Amino acid sequence: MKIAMAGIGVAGGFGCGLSALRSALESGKVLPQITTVHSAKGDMEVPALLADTARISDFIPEKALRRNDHYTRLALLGCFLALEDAGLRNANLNRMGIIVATGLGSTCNTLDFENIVEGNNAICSPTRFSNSVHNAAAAHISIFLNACGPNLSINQFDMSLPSAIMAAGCWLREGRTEIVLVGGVDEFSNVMAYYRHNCCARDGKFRVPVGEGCAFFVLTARPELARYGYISEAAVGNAEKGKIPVPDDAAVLCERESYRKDRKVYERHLAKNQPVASFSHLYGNLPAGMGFDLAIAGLGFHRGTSCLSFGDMLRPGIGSFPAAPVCCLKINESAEYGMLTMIPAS
Amino acid sequence: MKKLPPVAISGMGCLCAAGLNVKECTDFLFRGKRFPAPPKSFADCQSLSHPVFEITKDFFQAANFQHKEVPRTSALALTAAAEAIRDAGISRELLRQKRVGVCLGTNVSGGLSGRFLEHFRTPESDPYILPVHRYGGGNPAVHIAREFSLSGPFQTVVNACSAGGDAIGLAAAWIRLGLCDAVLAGGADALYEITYFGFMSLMNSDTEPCKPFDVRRNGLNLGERAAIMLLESEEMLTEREKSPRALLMGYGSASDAHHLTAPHPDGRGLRFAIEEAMKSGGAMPPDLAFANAHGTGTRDNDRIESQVFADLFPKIPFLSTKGYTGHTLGAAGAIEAVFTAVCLEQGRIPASAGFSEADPELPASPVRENTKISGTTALSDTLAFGGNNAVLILGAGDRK
Repeated sequence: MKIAMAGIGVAGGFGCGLSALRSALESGKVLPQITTVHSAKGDMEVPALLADTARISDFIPEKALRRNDHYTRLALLGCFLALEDAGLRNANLNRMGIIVATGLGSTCNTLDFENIVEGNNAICSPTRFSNSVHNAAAAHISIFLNACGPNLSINQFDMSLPSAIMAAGCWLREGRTEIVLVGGVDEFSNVMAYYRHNCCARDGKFRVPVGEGCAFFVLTARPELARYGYISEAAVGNAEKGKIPVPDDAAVLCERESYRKDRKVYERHLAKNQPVASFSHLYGNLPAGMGFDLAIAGLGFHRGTSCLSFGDMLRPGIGSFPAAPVCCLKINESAEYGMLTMIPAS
Repeated sequence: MKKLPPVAISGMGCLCAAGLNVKECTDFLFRGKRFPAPPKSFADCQSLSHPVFEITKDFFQAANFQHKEVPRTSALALTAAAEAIRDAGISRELLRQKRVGVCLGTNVSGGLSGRFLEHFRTPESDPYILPVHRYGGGNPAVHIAREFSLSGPFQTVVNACSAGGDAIGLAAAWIRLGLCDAVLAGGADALYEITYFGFMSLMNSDTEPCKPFDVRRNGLNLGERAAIMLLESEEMLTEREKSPRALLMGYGSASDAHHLTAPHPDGRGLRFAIEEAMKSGGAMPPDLAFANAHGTGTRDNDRIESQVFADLFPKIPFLSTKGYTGHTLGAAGAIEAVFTAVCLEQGRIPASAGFSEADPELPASPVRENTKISGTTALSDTLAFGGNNAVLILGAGDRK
């Protein structure tokens, strides 16, 4: 079954919303901020693509958000933007399904809570603890939207988003719900910034700044709502146990650092003359990054333009774009892959 | 929601404070004893007055696994998975040949935490580089997939206390929709000081052994465990000439959309989840032999479940097993599904440990004694932090 994409909500280092993403695509660059990361080895300056969640107050009164951390605000912002884009902002969403995918979870809150525990467990904050639980963002989304449908939080590192889209497809195919609000979110944290910066700077491969952000989608089985096209396949598995089902005629989008590092592994699953492009320089390095590639693929189909014309081409190729499929692909160091294929609506 | 085809459960494995395999655990339940105690695994922390159900035996037989250096939650999951595979009578070779997935619920192993950083830290290593690298290198679902060389999808559900039930429900869809030939599904969570102190901060943790549904109930006790079910397609089961040990008939998931830490006062989400599970399983309330409640021992959880059960299943006996095992968060839905399936096999349910005096404010109470049941269908539900509710409908198998 094809899954229709009816709405997209994104926020990241490029800005907030689809218009900001379009502008970033057209300009081809986003300037990172320089953040100071405190570590045991002293302070270090790390370039990062950080997301501003100020626009969430367009949807939810600030007072109601006073206990929500940055991670949850990011997720809420992506959800409301996607619903607004789909024209469902004021719809009855009582039985809508919600899936939140994250590679790292509410990292800052979790680590902060742990520091408090280590320091003096007598003053543990119940609010801090509550918001550090991994389904907190999905819970807040359901509460703010009064959505009582199935609710899922998935945490599978870089494969979180394709796993979540797979789950959404299962719900739609089994008739558990007609609409699923699904997306990925990850936040910047000192620990991950330190890790990424040190690892990548050390081996000379540091090209893409650390990122944070959210990319949410309104998915449905109803074809008349396929404004951005369809997700025709979502898969997670092991790339060494068979051929990844990348369509031969698809344009492939993937994370630049991953492709450059494991190029030979990727190549084994690509057809001759199959083009590969990356947009990670626009949103940064984050586990949920595939969500931005999916949004870019949808935007391309919506506008009838090939997303490749804006990408950082990693592998030249040919194809009948923009009519051909777009495949978002990630293969990790252990040869585990996640894949999402989009096709145009017509 | 239409009726969906049942999915075969061909093998089960579990371990918890009650025992290190399915038989030990379920035999323990019917003996009516329990041994909660202060936690030993983080005994250097303060305020250890709240008892837990901890696995104190050396359960991980590292020699049987290729992946020997794994965090405790993964060790629990691997141990339960190995038992489920043995129980199903499947060879590692056949698992490699088929498209087999892994779908696991967890709390402790979901997301980056200080526990991981600490676990992988070595005196020689940078404080973060190696720990974060190792963290990103695997979680229990991935460790199982790698250990058994599985080619199918792997997924980690972090729906707090309902994660194990949700993982099994989702795995059934993978089988029904043809995404997998078989799926190792369930949950695992090791005892963790963060949740220990977290529940204390919420004042949801009892300083005595927990008393689900009792008038004097005063909160939960945490525990640790893992439980895995091997779900298998009809085609693969037929090819192997095997019969299912149990059936997963229905699954329902719904959100309260109410509050982060308190259930909806009318059990809105639980009612939705039960309705969806019953419809997808083609079951009616009179079909149920019993219900295995979440029954944590917290004031609110037990009140809501009692009210919903009284409304929907007024004559159906129910129980809580938390008094024997503690509340094991992401693994709870999975091990309670295993217990439910075994109770259907044995035609009896254990007494609800900790329950002695009914709460006059609760319209329904669990069984006090080991109780014979008749019927081939039962319900197991879990209510989670954040308002998640997962309900499984299990059926008896016909394994000889």
